[in-house]
Amino acid sequence: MFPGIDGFHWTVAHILFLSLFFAVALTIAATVISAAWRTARDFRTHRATELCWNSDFADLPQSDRRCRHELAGRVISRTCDNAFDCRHCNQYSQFAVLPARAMMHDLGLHYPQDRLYHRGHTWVHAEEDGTVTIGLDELAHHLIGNPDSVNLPEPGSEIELNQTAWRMTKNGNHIQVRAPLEGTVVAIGGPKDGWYLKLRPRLDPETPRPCVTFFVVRKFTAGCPANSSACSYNSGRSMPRPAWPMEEPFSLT
Amino acid sequence: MASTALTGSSLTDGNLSDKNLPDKKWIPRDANRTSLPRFLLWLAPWAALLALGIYAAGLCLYYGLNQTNMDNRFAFGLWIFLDLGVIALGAGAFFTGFLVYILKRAELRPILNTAVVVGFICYSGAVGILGIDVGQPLRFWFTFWHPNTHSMLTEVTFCISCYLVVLCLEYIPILLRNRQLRKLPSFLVFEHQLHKLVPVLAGVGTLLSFFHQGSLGGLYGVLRGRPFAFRQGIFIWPSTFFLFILSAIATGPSFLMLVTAAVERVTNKQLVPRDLFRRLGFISGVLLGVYVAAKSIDTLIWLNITSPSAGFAAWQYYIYKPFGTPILFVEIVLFGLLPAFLLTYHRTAAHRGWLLSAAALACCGVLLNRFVLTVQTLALPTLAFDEFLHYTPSWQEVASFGGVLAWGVIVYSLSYRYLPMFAPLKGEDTHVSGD
Repeated sequence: MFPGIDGFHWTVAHILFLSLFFAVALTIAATVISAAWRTARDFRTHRATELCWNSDFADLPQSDRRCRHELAGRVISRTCDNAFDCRHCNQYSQFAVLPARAMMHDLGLHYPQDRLYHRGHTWVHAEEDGTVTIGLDELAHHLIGNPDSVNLPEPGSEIELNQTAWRMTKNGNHIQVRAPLEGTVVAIGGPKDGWYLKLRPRLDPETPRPCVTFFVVRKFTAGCPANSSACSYNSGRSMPRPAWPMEEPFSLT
Repeated sequence: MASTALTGSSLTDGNLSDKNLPDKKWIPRDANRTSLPRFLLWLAPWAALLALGIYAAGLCLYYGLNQTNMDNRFAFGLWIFLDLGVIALGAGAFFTGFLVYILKRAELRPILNTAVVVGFICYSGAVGILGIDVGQPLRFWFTFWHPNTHSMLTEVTFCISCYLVVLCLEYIPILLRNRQLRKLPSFLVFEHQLHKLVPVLAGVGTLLSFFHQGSLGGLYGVLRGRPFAFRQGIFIWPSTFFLFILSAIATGPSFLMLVTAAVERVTNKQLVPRDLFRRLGFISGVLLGVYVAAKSIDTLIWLNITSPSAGFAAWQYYIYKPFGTPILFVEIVLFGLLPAFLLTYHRTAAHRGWLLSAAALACCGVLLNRFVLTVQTLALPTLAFDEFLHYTPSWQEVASFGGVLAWGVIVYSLSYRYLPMFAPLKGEDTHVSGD
């Protein structure tokens, strides 16, 4: 195998054969190492979340991939193929100019228009100091009421987009709430405050970033293209359908 | 106490408490699978066979090859036939990868996962059985540390070992797509990144497979002391080197067809697009036609030039029963020319029954070829005082053989149940009943 080992001879056959073998072995090893290095890089650059979302989106049934314009009543039926990233939608501008017809008020739910809504049933409200406030939307509030206990992250901790933002219990059921965006927790509230978290978004509002999981919170990314959902979505009228794949039924009984 | 996330998908997904599917959270979303007890019932006899095979293998490793009916004269038996057979049938893995990733034949993508799993099963089974045959598992590294670079077996060992690693790496992304495993972000991202590099692995796998398939054939072609197998060739490679490659890539797609059709039959579902079998059949048929032509030319050269020059008239090989001339006819015509025609002729290829029958014939052909080269080569006398040898495998050999078969069925069954092996078909009636 190597010079100095019994059986090795400095012949063309030995050199050629072992060179080929080592070339193949090195290629295989380099492939694995490369995949591992890229994985670590994706976690460092927070791209892992985007990849996870794209993978989960592909796993969603068609009924959970309904286009936001369908939810807003602008089109009768449409399925999203862009992981809810409206920047990559060729038909976005065509639909965005149509009037939204879905009025959540008709269903007895109140969705203020001064904030943005995530499919995980949270809302995000931009504050003047550059932070954002996060709370539960009307539907979740009606379903849960006053939770028995709330487990909020400590101020200063980081939360990731679409990962667990906080946990609650109600009637013995554990409920985890997905984060509508990533950033650092600067203050915590509670059910009585009407909001749960105050967050400083990780990325500078001026920094363009990929519109990944967001159905709504693109308003904060000033660098987004003019036709992206980030810059134009502000109606708050459409019922935000959850997009995260679920493994267990949501039950409060 | 239920644990939920505050998202609405769960509101519509209320089937999880099905008592017959306690493993439902491991099953791909929207996939319809049979109940767990029924699945375990299906696995039970295979698990028993695998256990018997492991026991027999343990006997062979502990007591040595005296547990088999092989001896110094009949050194290749059922196990080597099994190795050659499954390695040829598993060639669909590298060849499909080559067609999809290198030649960009995207229409074959729906069968890629099956190809990888079948390849993994075949090669892991082959390496396992080789490990028993060679023995002394604690000294497995000797073959790498002290390689005999003039031996075709060294090339085979190196290539098969490396290719099994490649197949494992190709299998990992499929494995990590399991519904529960993908919940771990690190697994999911690693799967994504590894999947992006699979074309590199497909290229490496093609190179390795090309050489080890060829070297397995070359192994027989260089046996000067066995005129039945000895062949002339090109440079250092006897003609069997190229014939083995051709026959493997010709029957690999046919075997994939058969496996998929068998799974469709068992599960009563259509798993791949309707025209995919026809495409695979055409590829298989064309290559089989080329193989039959090359094999015929090779046989004529061997009968008229190679063998006589070694002092043997061709008829001498076929006077011992059951290895008469019909076996040559069956191998070339019935299991070669006929399936090649059926797979490529548009009328028979359009009929699923003909297509699958032809694929089965092609697979039988490659198995018969490996059997003849392994068993008939050693059974025939080569010296004046030699006798025609008889060999019947011992129960340990047969049980080990069965163990490999059971290993394949179990791995494939588990993969099918818990991994997204087949993408959902669009616009086709995909579901008939549970499986």
